[in-house]
Amino acid sequence: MDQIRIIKTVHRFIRNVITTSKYTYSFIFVIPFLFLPILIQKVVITLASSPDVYNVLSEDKILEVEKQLRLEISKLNIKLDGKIPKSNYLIINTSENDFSLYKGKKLIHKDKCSTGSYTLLKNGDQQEWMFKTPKGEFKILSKTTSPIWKKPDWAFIEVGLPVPSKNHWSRFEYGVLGDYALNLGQGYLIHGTLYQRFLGLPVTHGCVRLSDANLKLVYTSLNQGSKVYIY
Amino acid sequence: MKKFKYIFFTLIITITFYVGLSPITSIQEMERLIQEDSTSSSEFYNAFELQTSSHEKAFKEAVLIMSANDSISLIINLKDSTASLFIKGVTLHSTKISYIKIDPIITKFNTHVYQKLFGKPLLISKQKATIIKEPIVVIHAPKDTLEAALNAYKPDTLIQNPAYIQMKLEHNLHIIMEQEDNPRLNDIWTRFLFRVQNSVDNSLENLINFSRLRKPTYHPYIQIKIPVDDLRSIYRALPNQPQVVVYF
Repeated sequence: MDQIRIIKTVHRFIRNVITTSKYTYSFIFVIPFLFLPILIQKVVITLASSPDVYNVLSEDKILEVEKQLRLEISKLNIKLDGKIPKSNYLIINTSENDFSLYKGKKLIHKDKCSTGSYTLLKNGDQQEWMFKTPKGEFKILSKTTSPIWKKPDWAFIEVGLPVPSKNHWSRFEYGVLGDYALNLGQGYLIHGTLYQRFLGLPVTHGCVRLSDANLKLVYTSLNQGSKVYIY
Repeated sequence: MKKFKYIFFTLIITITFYVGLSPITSIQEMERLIQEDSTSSSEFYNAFELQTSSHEKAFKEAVLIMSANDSISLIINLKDSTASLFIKGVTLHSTKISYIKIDPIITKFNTHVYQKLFGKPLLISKQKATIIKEPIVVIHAPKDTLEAALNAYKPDTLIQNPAYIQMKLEHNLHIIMEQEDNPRLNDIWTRFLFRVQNSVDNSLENLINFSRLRKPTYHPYIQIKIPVDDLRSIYRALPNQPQVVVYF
């Protein structure tokens, strides 16, 4: 509605300016002036050429340099290919909430996952937690089966429960992380979920959640030290 | 009164030519780049026949330099019509560019200028977009379990705004990335406002330069259009001051 109101106001203003005989001449004069700088720029660009530093080389010289350039390009290609991990690696897209499992340049599997919800949980003025998945290059630091979740303070605060002591029994929850967990460091894991219907949506506290089948595939495909790229 | 009118029109005409002639500053900047370069080997790459190979070499060298960087970077490959996210030698995401428009002043640069300009990663100093980088939702801790149950987080597909991005690079270069489809009136309106705002910003910058008796600024641009989902992924993945490699 605001857009329509703005368009109507602009239209009314232009109509008034044109129909008022005092301003008609000025208006007709000003309009082409607005486009004049663009026109001059186009003429300048058309006339301009970059500084003339061309050298005339003989055909033999050109072929020789071309050969040398091709050689240097192939060396650069080898160097660049050497940067791609040879073993399996994982790429996670936090905007689309999907993951791709690669071996070298070959895509092995692609499916949905869940990543950080971009929620900022505030507990008064003292404490706050940002639930987002970090971006960049990571390594699998460790792998575990049947992981147990040791609930951090925010897990109690976000559901309105009092925070228990550090090793209180209520902090330990079994089965919620699925059958496997892969540790990315700084408290971030790749794990399973009970909420499979939320896969493909940004709902986590920063970890990456996968379906049971995908988790098994990722767990078996990646080893300790395997690369994980998150963007 | 008549005197003021003449002064006013003289000022308008001066500013018009001041802005109109601004591409000359870009050309001067490129001349300066070449003059700074005293390497003799570059003379071979200025032959027209070697242009394709030397552009490719410059591109590969730039990508190799960028692969040493720890953060996510951008590759705009206009030869392949692809825009890709890149980190440490690995392509994270790649998308097809459906529309390319290059400022004629850039295509006029010879291979020597091209190498100086695009033979290394360029730093994006400023990003401007119609979407937010991190769609943060603030939630206050509930007092008890009852309040928590009432405010339980309901995942949503999020309201997605139209995506138009402008990136300011070194040497006053601009990369404009736009969503390829504009199916809704809101998309067209947002694009219109985005473009008007860019024009106003450029004009204001030149007016300030004029008032301070500085040279005018011209922003050679590369405009591309890609699918909206890819555009959001790319924008949100890039850090605040990422590097970019351009190849054409």
